Amino acid sequence: MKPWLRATIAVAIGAMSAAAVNVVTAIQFSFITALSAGIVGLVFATFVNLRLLTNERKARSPRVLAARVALHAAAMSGDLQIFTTATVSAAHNQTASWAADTSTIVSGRNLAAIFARRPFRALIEGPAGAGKSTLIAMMASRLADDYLNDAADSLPLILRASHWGAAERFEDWVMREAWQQYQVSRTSMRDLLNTSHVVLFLDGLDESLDPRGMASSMKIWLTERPNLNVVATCRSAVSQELRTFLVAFSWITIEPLDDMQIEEFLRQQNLPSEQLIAQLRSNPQLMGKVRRPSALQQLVGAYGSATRSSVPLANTATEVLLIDALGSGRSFELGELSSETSVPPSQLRPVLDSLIERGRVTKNVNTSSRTVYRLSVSVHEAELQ
Amino acid sequence: MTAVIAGPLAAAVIAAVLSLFEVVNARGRFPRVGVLQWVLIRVTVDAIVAALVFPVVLSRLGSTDWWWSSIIAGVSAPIVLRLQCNFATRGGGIRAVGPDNFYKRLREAIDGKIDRYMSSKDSGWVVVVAAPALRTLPVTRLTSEIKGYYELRDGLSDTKRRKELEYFEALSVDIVSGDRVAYESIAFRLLQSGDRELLDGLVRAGGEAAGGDQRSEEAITPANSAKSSGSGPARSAKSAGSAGPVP
Repeated sequence: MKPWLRATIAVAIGAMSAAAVNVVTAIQFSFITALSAGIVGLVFATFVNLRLLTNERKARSPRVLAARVALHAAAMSGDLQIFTTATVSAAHNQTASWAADTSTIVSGRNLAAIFARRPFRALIEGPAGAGKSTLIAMMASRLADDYLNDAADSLPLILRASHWGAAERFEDWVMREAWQQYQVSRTSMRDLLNTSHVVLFLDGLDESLDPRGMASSMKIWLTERPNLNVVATCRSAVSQELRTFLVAFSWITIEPLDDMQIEEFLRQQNLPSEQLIAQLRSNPQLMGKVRRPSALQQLVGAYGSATRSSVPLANTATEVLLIDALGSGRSFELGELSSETSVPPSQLRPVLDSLIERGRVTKNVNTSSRTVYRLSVSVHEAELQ
Repeated sequence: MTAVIAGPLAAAVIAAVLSLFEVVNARGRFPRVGVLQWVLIRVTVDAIVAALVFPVVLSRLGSTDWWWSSIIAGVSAPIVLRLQCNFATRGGGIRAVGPDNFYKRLREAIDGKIDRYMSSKDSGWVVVVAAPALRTLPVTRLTSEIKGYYELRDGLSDTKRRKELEYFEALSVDIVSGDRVAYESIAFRLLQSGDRELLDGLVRAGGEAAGGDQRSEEAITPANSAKSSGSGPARSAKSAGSAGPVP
């Protein structure tokens, strides 16, 4: 519904409720009651109006949304990226399957092309710690980057299936989760769904209260939206139960790491890979565990740096978040900007320098002799959209 | 006589209290001393309008119920001042009509002054007091205190909890590298997200650690800051008692 129509309806409802209460109370000829009712009605009208307008104001532009998704995905994927092998079974040919490196699944060139062919629907399955969530985070991150650079027309959104309330309408959950996660207003979300310019990444179907119920709701909902792209993840233990609901989905099974992949990864981390592999081989139980990327990361953490950080956010996404934060018109210190954008200062500095160089941001010293940043006056408001 | 003097006065006081509540509620704390003149102007406008509305209400109710008129005038005046109805225009936009159109300009100008002053003071407190105090804490303690707080804190949505944890996780590399701004970012984030009790506790712990190390006591102890500023976070830190940083 258009914002102006919603605002008009809100005014009408408020005025009618005030009038109705007034008519009822005026019969008793009590001025106080009538006046109180009138005030309540007017407050209601104002409240509804303000609420509607606030929601509309809060709605973020697609570019800011994409930047937020990139930020979220960067935090999800972590800095140690381990690529595994996945067995892919295409939806249109369930009997044939082939092996693919997960790095090729998230490679930029392939991804935009895959999601341009609507609908693309896939279920990524694997045991706990296999890297399912990391894989979709990397896919979403790459896609958000493509979106920000105008190389893709679909906005990725990562939604947590664990937040689905059993018996909840699937669309209601999608709307609610998109709002809570990225502040996508209902209007914007409906537009995105209607035009299918969105890719929904549903993380952890197995974590929902009722995976079968959720898969069933999703199946019914997707029949109404034949062009929508969906990628879901689910643990292997539960995924087989969902097969009947996800017939139209391609199946991507993440395989355990083999010895060579483990050795290669350890070598990349500058660890004594041969020595470690030999030790791991002598302990089959431990070797079985590190075939899962999460366990291998822990092993690397134990040997190397214990601090695990998120992967650096792409400069385009950082720039969009910075301009969005500075759009309020105030001056910000670097620490404040980091807090506003959720991007660490070390990643903000080069982007800020670049923005200053291009004249988009001005750097000043405030009355307390501290450096503050402000959006340049020459940046037109339209650019913030 | 009572209705003539006490009535408008009571209405003005009620309106002023409501207006003050709005100012405090919007910022989550009482304004600093330096902006009291602006708060006073803001509150006075509401109070004057309430006093002016009082005779109108009284004329309808009769002089016997003057206290009723005061209450109604005191409550309705701020509401009416903020009233705004939105109408659709032919161009598809929204046109706002109501007293709020005029009052909003004054209110926003005053709020801007209050916010600018308070944020400048907050920034000063963060840079001079909070961030240096946080830097004196061992990195492992600082990160574990923050993580523990967000993992256990009640009344936080999953999304908000995760977002906070993700942000502090992302900051960890900057913290380990000793980046001064990273500590300021922590303080700003905790201030903005309303987790002041954690920040005050950490600053207090940092101040104690610095005192123990005989390092820059004058600059960073919350007690000194409370002496100099008279209010604000430092005072809260002082009054936090010995409960420690984790609630």
